[in-house]
Amino acid sequence: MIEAKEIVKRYSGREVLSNISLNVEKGEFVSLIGPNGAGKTTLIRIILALIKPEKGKVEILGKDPFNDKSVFRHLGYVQELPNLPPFLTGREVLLLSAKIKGAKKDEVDELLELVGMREFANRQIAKYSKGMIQRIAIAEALLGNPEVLVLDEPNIGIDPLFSLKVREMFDKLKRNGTSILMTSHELEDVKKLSDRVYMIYKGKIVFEGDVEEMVKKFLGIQVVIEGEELEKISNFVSSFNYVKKVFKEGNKLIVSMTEDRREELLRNLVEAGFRIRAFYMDLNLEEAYSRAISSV
Amino acid sequence: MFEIILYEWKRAISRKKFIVLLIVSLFFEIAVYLAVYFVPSQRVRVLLTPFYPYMWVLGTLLPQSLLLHFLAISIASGSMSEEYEQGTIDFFLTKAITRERFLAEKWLGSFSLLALVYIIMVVLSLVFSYGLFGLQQDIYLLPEAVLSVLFSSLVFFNIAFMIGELLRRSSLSFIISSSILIGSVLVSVVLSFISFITHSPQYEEISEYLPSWGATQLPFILLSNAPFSILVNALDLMPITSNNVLMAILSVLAYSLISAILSVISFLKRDIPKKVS
Repeated sequence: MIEAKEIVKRYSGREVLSNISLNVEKGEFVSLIGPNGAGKTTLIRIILALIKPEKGKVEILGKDPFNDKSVFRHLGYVQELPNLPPFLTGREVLLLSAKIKGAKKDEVDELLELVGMREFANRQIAKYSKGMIQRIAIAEALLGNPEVLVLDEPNIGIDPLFSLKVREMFDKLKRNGTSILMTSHELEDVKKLSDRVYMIYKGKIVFEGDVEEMVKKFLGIQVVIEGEELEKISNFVSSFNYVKKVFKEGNKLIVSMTEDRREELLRNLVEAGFRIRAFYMDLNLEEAYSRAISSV
Repeated sequence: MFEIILYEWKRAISRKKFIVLLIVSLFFEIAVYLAVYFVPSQRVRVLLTPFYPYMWVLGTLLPQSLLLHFLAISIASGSMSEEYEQGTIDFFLTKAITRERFLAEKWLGSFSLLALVYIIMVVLSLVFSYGLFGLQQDIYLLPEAVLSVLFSSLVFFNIAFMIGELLRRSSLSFIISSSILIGSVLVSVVLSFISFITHSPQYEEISEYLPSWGATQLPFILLSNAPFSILVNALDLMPITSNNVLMAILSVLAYSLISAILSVISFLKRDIPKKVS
């Protein structure tokens, strides 16, 4: 659905994207993460044919967006800090977009309702708060049921309640087959929504895989155990040679392992008679993210 | 189709700078007629009476001298540059709209707005000339006058449009385009003066290569043989040099086409940056 191959982009001789390849399959949610200035937005703008790369090729739905603009009929885009025409009202923005996209006018009211902006729809964009603009931008991107969604920091400025709603919306879209590419600093969203993550740093992809793989790669295997007699469990698990470190964090036990032998560990604990309430991998993406940056 | 043209109208109308210039232009248009009608001096009134049947020329040609070019610059300088400044260009270019279509509709939208404003001025001039000065004569020359004014306004319209696209800053492109207009007019005046005191026609000839020459002279040259030529000459605020219609048309074509071509090349070839300011 989205494919970027060996993209190279230079500004004044400085390479800001070095041989980057990325793809998003049908119904897949892919996140692009990385610190500010890593090249995420430049890559997104190349995918959207706003910036021409020095080298490389982009395809959306099998077509080159630089030469065939018809692909944009099937694409929704939420800009980082959306810039919508300030002199138009929220409804006018959606109506203009519906006309260009060939979407039905009825959709406008449905989407305004969905993003909770129906009662403010006749107010000028210039009089909206950041969060309200973001809501209109999300509604605008969803017009015409796009097959592909490109979201550049879609959660900036929106309140936590609407943020949850947005997460549910994207999840539902993904399950209905929409391919989504998102850049975000909200790692909680990345963790909960992404099928795959690309981490970009100084214009290079430094990681590609799912969240679990990322955590494994940069943090190692950490298992969280919740249960009774944590002291005894701690002593028990420390005896295994593949257990590197055990420490208590509140009413949880964090077990750091040298290799992925989670099943074996759980079996041993159960066979030893410990009462385990929860046993899961610690997906501390924030920590993995910061380790990834410091390790590059 | 044409969504961007309508959008462009709304965008231009929402700007205070445009509204102020429009009000000034319309006020100026009406004020000129009222001033001529209510002229207190009997002697001046006697002098003006033979021109009453041609008063439509007053409102048709007077804005051409400078005001219309400023309006053109005001509309065109922000047409592309404000899209970059506000970051709204992404909104359009991430839809099924080619860059060629976007640029063409932006240009058409802005220029049609300028034409509409000018036509409102012409309508006002007809209303006031018929209403205050009675039946008007040689009105068959009106289409030629209107078309030549609109054609010659292309020069500074396209220069401002091009500078707006190249610099992607609206205030800067307005200032630079206005400076080119004023500078070109001033240089023209100086060259004519030098030509006059030195009796050397080559100085005047040089001024014919300046962008303001064709832009300000073409309608006056075209109407210089009309029955109301005295009025036409009186309305021409710029120094009269040659009466070469072809040269004036070529001057307008050259400056407006070069500017248009540079705008197209810049827009098609350059990257679309994130919000400029």
